[in-house]
Amino acid sequence: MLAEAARRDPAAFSPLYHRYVRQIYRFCYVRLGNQQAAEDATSDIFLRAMGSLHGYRGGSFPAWLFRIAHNVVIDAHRKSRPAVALDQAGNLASADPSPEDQAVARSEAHRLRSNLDRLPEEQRIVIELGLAGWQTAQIADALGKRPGNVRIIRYRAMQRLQTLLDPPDDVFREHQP
Amino acid sequence: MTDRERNQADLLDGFVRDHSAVPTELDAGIAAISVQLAAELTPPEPSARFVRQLDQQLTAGPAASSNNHQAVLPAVAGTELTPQTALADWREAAVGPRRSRLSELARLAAAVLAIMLIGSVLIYMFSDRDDALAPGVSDIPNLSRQILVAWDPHDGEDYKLFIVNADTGEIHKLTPGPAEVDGVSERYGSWSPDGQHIAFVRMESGEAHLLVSRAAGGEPLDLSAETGISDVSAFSWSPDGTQLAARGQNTAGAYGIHIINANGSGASVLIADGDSTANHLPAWSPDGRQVAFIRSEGRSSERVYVVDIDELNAMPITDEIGAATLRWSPDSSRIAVTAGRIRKSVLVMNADGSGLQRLIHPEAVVLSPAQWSPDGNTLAFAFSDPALPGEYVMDGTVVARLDGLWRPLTEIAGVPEWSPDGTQVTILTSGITEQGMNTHQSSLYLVNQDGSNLYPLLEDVSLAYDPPVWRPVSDPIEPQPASTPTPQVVLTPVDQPSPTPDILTEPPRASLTYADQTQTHGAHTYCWPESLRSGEMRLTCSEADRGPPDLPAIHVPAGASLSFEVEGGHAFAPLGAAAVRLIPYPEPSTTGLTFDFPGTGIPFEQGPGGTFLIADVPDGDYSFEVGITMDIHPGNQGNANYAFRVIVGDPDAPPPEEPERFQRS
Repeated sequence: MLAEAARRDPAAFSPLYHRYVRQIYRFCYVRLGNQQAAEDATSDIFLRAMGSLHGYRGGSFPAWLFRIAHNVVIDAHRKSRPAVALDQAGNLASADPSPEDQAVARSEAHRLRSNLDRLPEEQRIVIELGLAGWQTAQIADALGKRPGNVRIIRYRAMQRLQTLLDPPDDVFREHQP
Repeated sequence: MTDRERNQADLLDGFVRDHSAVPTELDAGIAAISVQLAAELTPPEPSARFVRQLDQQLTAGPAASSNNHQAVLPAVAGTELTPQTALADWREAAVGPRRSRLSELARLAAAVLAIMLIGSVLIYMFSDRDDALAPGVSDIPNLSRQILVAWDPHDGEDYKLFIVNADTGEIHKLTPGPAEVDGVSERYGSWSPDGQHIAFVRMESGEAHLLVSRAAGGEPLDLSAETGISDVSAFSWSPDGTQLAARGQNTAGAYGIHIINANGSGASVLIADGDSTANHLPAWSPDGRQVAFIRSEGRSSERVYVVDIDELNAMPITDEIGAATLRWSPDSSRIAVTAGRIRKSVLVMNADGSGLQRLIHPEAVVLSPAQWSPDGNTLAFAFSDPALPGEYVMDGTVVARLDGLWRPLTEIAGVPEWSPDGTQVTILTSGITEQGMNTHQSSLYLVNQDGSNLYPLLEDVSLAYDPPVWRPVSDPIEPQPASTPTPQVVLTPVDQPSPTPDILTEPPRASLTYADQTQTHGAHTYCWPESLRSGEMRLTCSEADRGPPDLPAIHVPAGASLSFEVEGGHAFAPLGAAAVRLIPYPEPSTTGLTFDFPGTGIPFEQGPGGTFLIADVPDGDYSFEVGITMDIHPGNQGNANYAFRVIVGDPDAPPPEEPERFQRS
C-alpha cells in the first residue's frame, strides 16, 4: 500500500524509506565492507528508487528495491576494490578486545570476506542478505524463490564456506592392525 | 590458540557433545561457520546522522533528487524475478533441468578429476542411469514402507516420533498424548529388526531416557527407569531384537556402552569409559557377534573399535582418524566410516580394519553418514566437491560402488536412507536461520534409486536432524492388544490399488501460487489436483483455467461420509467460500455434484482453513474440482498457499492406530 501511495505521490516515499533503509544499508555494508561506501550506495539506491517509482508496476516492493540495490552495489564494487571493514568488524566476541585480538579479528574478517566472494553469486547474496538482517521470507521474495529454496541455497553456501575455510587434512593412511 | 579459536573450539565441542546422534558433524561445522560469520561480518546499523540526512534529501522531492536515475533492473543471477520463476525453480529442483545440470557438472568434474588422478587407485567416472549399479529389486511386498521421523508439528524443537507412510504420505504419531508437550522431546527412533517395536530417546527435564514402544503405538516401556541406564545418547538393536547396546550412565555414575535387555529385565557394562576416554555410537553387527563403536581420547582423536560380544576384547581397527559415523555392511564383513579431522571422507574397511580404502577423492567433503544399500554393494552419502575451485560447486547425494565408481543420485544434499528393498532412498535436508544456525526446518524427499521421481514427503517442517529410518521388514505390524477405535476409511485412488499403490510417476507440484498483480479482492479461484496420493493432494489454482480433464479419482464406499478439509492461507487472504464438485469417474461428461460452502466463517486468527462435511454422496468413484474464494484484503498482495484434503469417513475420528493396508493383508 505504501508503495502504491508513493507511486501516486512521491512525497509519500518517506515511510518506505524508513522501513527499508536499515536493511538496504546493512546489505551494502556487507557487500562493500565499509561505512562510507555503504552510505554512498544507500543514497544512490533510494534516489534511484524514488526517481523510478513511475516504473514500479506493483508486486513486491522490497524485491523491486533489492534489484536496484543489487545493481548499485555491483557498480560500486566494480569502481573500487572492496575494503575490509576494519573499523567495526570483529568486535562482538569481546567487549574490550586486546590489540592482538583485534588484529586476529581483522584477518579473520578478511579471510571470511574473501571466501564469501568465492561463492556462487546466488549463494553469496543469500548469505549477505541474511547477515544484513533480512528474513528468509524477504530473501525469497527478493530473489523470486520459495523460502525452502533459500534455505537450501543457504545451507549449500555454508557447506561451501566450510570447504573453503577448512584446510585439507592429511590424516588418512592405511592402518595395518 | 587465540581466545577466539578457543571459544570456537569450545562451541564446536559443546555442539557435538550435546548432539551425539549420527549426523552432528554437519551441524557442528555449519554452526561454527555461522558463528564466525555473525561475529566477523555482521554489519553495523546506519548512523542516525546519515539516515536523517538522506531522508531530508529525499523529502526535498524528486526534483532535488537524482531524477535522472533510472533503475536498471536486469534479473538477479540471470533469473527473471517472478512467482512463476519460483515455481519453475521448484520444479527444476525437483525433477528436470537441475538434475541435468548436475549431470553436466558432475561429468565435467569427473572428467577433470579422472585426468588428474589417472593411474591412481580411484577412477572417477559416471555411468548411465540404468547402469549395473542399480540394486536388485526385491519381490517382497511393500508393507514395510513406513518411515520413522522426529517432528515437531508446531515448528519448535520439542520433537515427537511420527511414522510416515512412504506411499500415501499419511502420518501417525507413535506415542500417546498430544504432540505439543513443551520441554519433552523424543528422538533417535530406531525400529527393532522385526519391525514390531521402536526404541527411542525421550529427553525431559535434562534427562535422556531410553524407551521402547510397540510399533502399533501405546505406552512405551522406560528402559532407563527399569535398568538404571540413563543419559542415553546413542544405541543399537541386537539383530535378534532382544537387547540394545547403548551409550549411557549406570546407577554407579559410570559412563560407557551398556547392553540392555529390551524387556527391561537387566543391563550390563560392555565397555566402560576410561579416565580420559569416551566410547560412543555403538553399532551391533548384523551377525550379532560384535559391536563396533567410536572411542574418543580428545578432539579429533576418534578411532573405531570392535568388541566381540562373547570375549569382550575391544580392539582398535583404525588409527585416530577423526571417525564420526560408522555403519556395518549387511553381511557384517565390512564397516563404512566417515572420518577426517576437519573434512570428512568415506572409508570402507574389513571388519578387522584391513583392506582400508577411501571411496571418494580427498578434496571432497562428505556431509552425511555413508549408508549401505540392502544388497551391500553400494553406499549412499551426501558430499560437496569443490571440483574446480572458484567455478563450480558440485554437491548432492551420490551412490558409490566399492570399486570407486559412483553416480549422482540427486542434487539435494542430505542424509540418505535406503528403503528395505533398495528401490528408493529418502533424503533428509537441514535448514538454517538467517544467522546460519540450524532451526531444523527440514524437508524429507523420496527418490527412486536411479534418481528419478524425486518428490517431497515432508517439506519445510520442523524435523529433527536424525536419520529417518525405514521399517526394516515387510511383516504386518501386530495390532495393539488394547481396544482400538474403528479405523478411518483411508482415501484410496482407484487406479492405485491398495495395498501396494504404485509410486507416483510425477512429483507433486508446488502448492498453488498466485500472481501478485492479478489477484483481486474476492476473486474466485478454481483449482485442480496435480497429483493424488491417498488422502491428500496438492492443487494448482488459477483464475482462468479449469485444469486438465484427466483428473485422478477417489472411491467413496456406500454409506461413507465425505468431508473436505482446507489448510493453509495467509493473514491477508483468509478463506472465504469453498466449493467441491464431485464428478463421477471415469465419466467426466456427467455434470456431477456440487457442494457449496458459501461462508466458511473462519477468520484467519482462529486458524486458517477448516473442515466441511459433505453429506449424502452416492457410493462410487469420483474425480473432483475445488473452488475457493479468498477474501483478499484490498490493497494487499502476496502468495497464499492452501492444501486440500478429502476425507472419506469421520474427520473427527481419531487417526487409525494402524493403516488399513495392514488389516487387509
